[in-house]
Amino acid sequence: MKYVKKKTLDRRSFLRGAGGVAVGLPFLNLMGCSNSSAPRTGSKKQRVEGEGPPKRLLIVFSPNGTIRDNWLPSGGETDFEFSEILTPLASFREKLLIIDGLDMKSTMVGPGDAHQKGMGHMLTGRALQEGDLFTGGGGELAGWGGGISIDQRIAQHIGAGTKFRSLEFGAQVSSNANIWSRMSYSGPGQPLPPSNNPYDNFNRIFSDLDADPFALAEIKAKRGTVLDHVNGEFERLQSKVGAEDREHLERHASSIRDLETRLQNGLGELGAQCESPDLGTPIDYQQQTNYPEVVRMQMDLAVMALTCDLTRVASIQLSNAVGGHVHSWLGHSRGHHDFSHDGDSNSATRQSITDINTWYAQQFAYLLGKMDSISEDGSTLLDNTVVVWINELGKGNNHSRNNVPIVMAGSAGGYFRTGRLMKFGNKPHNDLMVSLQNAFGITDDVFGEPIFCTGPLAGLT
Amino acid sequence: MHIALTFSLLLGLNYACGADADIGEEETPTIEEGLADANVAEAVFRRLTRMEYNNTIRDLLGDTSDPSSIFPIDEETLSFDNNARGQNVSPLLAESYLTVSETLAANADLSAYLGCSSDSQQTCANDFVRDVGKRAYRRPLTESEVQSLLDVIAWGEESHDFETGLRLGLQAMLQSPHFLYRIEEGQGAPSESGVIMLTAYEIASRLSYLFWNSMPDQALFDAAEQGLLDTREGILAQAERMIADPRAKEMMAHFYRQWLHLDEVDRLQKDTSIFPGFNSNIARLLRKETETLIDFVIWEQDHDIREIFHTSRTFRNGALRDFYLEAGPEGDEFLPMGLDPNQRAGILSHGSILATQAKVNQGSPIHRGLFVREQLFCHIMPPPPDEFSIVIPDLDPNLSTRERFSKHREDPACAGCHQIMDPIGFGFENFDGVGRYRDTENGLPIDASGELTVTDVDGPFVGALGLAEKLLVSEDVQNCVVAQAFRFGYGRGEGEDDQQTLEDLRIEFAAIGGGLRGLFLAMTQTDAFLYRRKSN
Repeated sequence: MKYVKKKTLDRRSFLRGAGGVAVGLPFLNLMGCSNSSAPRTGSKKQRVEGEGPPKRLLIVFSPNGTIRDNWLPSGGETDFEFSEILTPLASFREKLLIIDGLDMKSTMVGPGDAHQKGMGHMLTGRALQEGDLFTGGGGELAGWGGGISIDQRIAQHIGAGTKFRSLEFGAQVSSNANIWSRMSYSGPGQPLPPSNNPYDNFNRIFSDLDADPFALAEIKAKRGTVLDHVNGEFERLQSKVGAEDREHLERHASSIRDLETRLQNGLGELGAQCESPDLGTPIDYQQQTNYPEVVRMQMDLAVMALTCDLTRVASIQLSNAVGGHVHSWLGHSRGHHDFSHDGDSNSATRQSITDINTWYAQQFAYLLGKMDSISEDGSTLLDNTVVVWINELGKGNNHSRNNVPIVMAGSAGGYFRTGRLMKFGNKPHNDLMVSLQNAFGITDDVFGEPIFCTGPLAGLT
Repeated sequence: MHIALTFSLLLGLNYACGADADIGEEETPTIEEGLADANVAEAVFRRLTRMEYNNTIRDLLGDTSDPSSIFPIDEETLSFDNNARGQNVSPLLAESYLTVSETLAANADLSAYLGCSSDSQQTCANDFVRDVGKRAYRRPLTESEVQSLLDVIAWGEESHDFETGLRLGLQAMLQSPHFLYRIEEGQGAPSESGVIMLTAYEIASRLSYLFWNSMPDQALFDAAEQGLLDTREGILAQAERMIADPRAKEMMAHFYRQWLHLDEVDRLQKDTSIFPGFNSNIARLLRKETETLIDFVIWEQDHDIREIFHTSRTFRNGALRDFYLEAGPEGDEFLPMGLDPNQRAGILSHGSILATQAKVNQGSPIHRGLFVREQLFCHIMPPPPDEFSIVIPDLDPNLSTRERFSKHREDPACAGCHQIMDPIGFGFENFDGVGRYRDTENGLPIDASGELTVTDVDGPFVGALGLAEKLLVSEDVQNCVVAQAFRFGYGRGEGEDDQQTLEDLRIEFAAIGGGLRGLFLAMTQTDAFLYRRKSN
């Protein structure tokens, strides 16, 4: 097991994996140094004086739709009353924007079955690729998502200076990598895999923190030389191969260039409250009964990655489309997707689905609480972020993608005017993504398939 | 016997036109001669999957540390993990390639090249690049490729030492597109329709990855160099050598595990208050039952693969006897035994598949029907209706499964598809959600009558044996096996330009008696294997 509980490492020890894979160097603060006294490495990012903390984006996903009657708050824009499902978020009232009435209209076009389209359109807002890749559980032939996802679009815009352009976390996402289990795309047909293993994530994200600067510089130089050479090989190869191969290889090559750029970035300026997260005694992160703990660990990692400014764009994917978790800790013995296909008049099932979504709201509340406890220049990490909790469906049993339940939290540094319930009468969900990109300085008023865009959502700012 | 049959039939294939044709009277064209008429769909270069990466590293460096386990999982398309078009190298994967190559290079045994005295280091570096590089890229390096790697080694030597230089050179090789992808530049001029021949080294890689999911061995490299892969016969001879190797058995298991979704068995979760005695250990044993039987049919018997759906033979041990609550052997060892033909027949009545194609707390005629449709008949089911006026019927625990799902048949919005799936699944009603046999459900006697439609073996049947008898003789099923093997073996879905290959394989498969061994051998003699279409 690579992850070792902090405080037991010594300076020269390496974190070793199952095959003796040495990953990165230990934390200085384990040896008694505090973060503020440890030497900082890497170049300082450009930050204009007086600009304040950076804005971040965090996307949270949960599957299978909801029970709208138990999700939608009653009352008006500012005097709304929390519903059963959203009650766990009550203490964050002033920082929320509860969004009702958005439909995934883009799913009217293109191939795929309901869950495929739900998952593939959710953050891309455009048709899936045609193709012979997926037949699926009752599905048409479809390819992957057909365009860049909103998190990656924003990461392109703001992520060039951080160690990681973006981070994709997963909690027990299916071990089948397909259209149902991928929501982030760096481009058409280019899914980004969420990382299910919290210990691998810990090692990958935090291992350079307070590392020995000399050793780090050595590694950078070596990697630079090797990657330069590999780049050259790709370039020479590109000129000799056909169009489709060239495109395929180009995606790989651009991932390598991404790596090279990040090597140059180093760590930048780390936030004052940055410290390595404590994941506790290692657990089996794939055991279904450990799902609640895995969810929280990934949330902790994401929050600290944002706090340390190692990235400004992250997503936490809890399960996947058609997610079948048995929430035994809620007293359930049937899986989530199974419940989601019972009839509307089955009141016991409606309660079960409500309980599941209430539980997810509690996890969301945990996340917001962590973020709100990180102070940054007089505000909090939550204030400087916009967190978006979204679903692949509106309603599970008929696969409707209307009224997709969406909760936003945080104002992205004052951009959004929070504390309100917003009811949009069946507007396309592309408009939400336009609003999000505008918040980060991308002025386009379309995102995804243009014909489904009607401009940023009115009244959010 | 089978092998000789394969050989001569394949060679005569393109020219046997009917009862009057004399097979073998005309010469089968050489690979070069066949180029003009060859047809094959466009394909993209195949990147090593996690399994292929591990195997290749094992054979290249002798490293068995399972390095690809930290890679993101392979994209799964059309059931398989090796569809080239579905593959994507995300920044996370690129980073994983980097960190893993550093570890592998650090641990590699380079003693053969490190023992050089300082004045012969240049020679050692040269040898290192040419020898290791040729095996890593699966072909001799060009002079400029050699020089480029020597430059990396020189940088490492100057900034640190000779050993560092060599290890950096190895890192560079392991991240090269020529290592990670099976790059095929082909040879010679393309045909009028844009098809080209492959080099001997490229054929060698196609053979080794098809049969062993790994890089060519020394014998294959030698065969390539000696021109033994320039003919169909030579290629077949190597294929026959390779399919006799234990690594081919591993490859075949990887194929059928994905085809039949057996890779899902170990992860199954069941409601143990309804299914006492089911646990992850039993799940593993159930999978072993099925895999032992399938291996027996493929390797020991070399029979028509459809027999796995019909045979009354299975392999169980004492723990499974206790689980199934049926007569069976004692002890831990898996031993052959006979299934009760009144109850079970073939792998569709094994706990492995019955439990996977089911829900947490009950069986599922829909899952089982869909499984037969998609995996055995290669039928693509249309999606459930997209509008939101559907009301899903509630479950009445006092009704039988068949009655509960009657709404599927009554509502026209549902019936279109469910009429194609459910009636197949109802044939399995004698089995609960973990594969145990039952005569009643909720006190009501089981009705295990089912029906097949839209196939070449349509009609009603009763129970597992009834369905098995149809599957055994279905040409649709046999042709579907060809399609599944095509997708797995060639790493892509069938394209329009693959019709000749598919036709050849279907005919050959039937002619040799429907055994998978012969099918995989036949896969080395097709247009899809011997040629490539030059993409624009």
